[in-house]
Amino acid sequence: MAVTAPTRLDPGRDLRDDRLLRAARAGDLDAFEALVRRHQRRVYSLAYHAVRDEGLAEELAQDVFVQLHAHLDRLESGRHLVAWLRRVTSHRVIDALRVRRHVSSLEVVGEPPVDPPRADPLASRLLRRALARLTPQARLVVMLRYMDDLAPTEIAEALDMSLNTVKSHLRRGLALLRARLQEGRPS
Amino acid sequence: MNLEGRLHDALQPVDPPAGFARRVRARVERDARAARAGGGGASASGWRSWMATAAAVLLLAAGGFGYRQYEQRRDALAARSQVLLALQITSRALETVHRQVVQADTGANAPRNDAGAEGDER
Repeated sequence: MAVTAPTRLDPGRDLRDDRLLRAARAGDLDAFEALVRRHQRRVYSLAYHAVRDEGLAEELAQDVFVQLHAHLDRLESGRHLVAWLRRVTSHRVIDALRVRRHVSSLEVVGEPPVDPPRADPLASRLLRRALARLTPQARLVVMLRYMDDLAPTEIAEALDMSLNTVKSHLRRGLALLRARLQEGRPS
Repeated sequence: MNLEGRLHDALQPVDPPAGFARRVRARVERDARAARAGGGGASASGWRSWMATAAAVLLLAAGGFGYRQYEQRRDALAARSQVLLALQITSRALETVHRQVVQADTGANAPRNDAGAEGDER
């Protein structure tokens, strides 16, 4: 599978995050709230697509930001913040999936408010259900690859996995999704 | 559309419910207030923690001392029982020997009375 390293460098954004981080570290709650607003979509999306439950996703996302507030002094920069948020969210999501066994709970599988215009609603629904049947780690690997456009090396760092394990999860995960998509399609 | 394209579409970013950042901030403020109210400040919580640790150490030390005393008493009682048993054994042995000595002595000094016994019978 060809992997292209995504270009996500945004110096302006990073500088703004740096300023907000400094202020938040100094106890400025307005700055902290601004940081939350800037990154809530990233964190919540990862949680939501993994657990497919709005209430649980919000709880997990809140936990991540509360933990962020307690660890502000450990973050050096805006880029470090993004990597930290991704890493902590991924670990919390994996733990939640293991505890609550949301892998096959299709009854609570919600649908996002709006499907993108060019999306095939049936395929999207089938894919989301198929994703829910992957193991927590495989699900996170696939999500980080296709939601955040991370390279396998970045996914390995976020999830504390070896590169080979990430590639293996990606390969098998995509094969399973492909097969389930084929099964679910009306003939 | 290929699978990867479909995955991109299925995993579009989702916004949290309205007011999310406000709720996070409220929670952080609440936790900070609770931490301040519960401990009365870092120094008070540190003092209480120190006292709790000291109390635990004292209890452990007292418990250890008490247990040593119990062990010593137990060992003393066991030794006493063994001494008593040894005395009993010795006493029985002495008694047996004494009986044997007495029997031996009585048998040696008893008069021989075989003829008188026969004359009496006639």
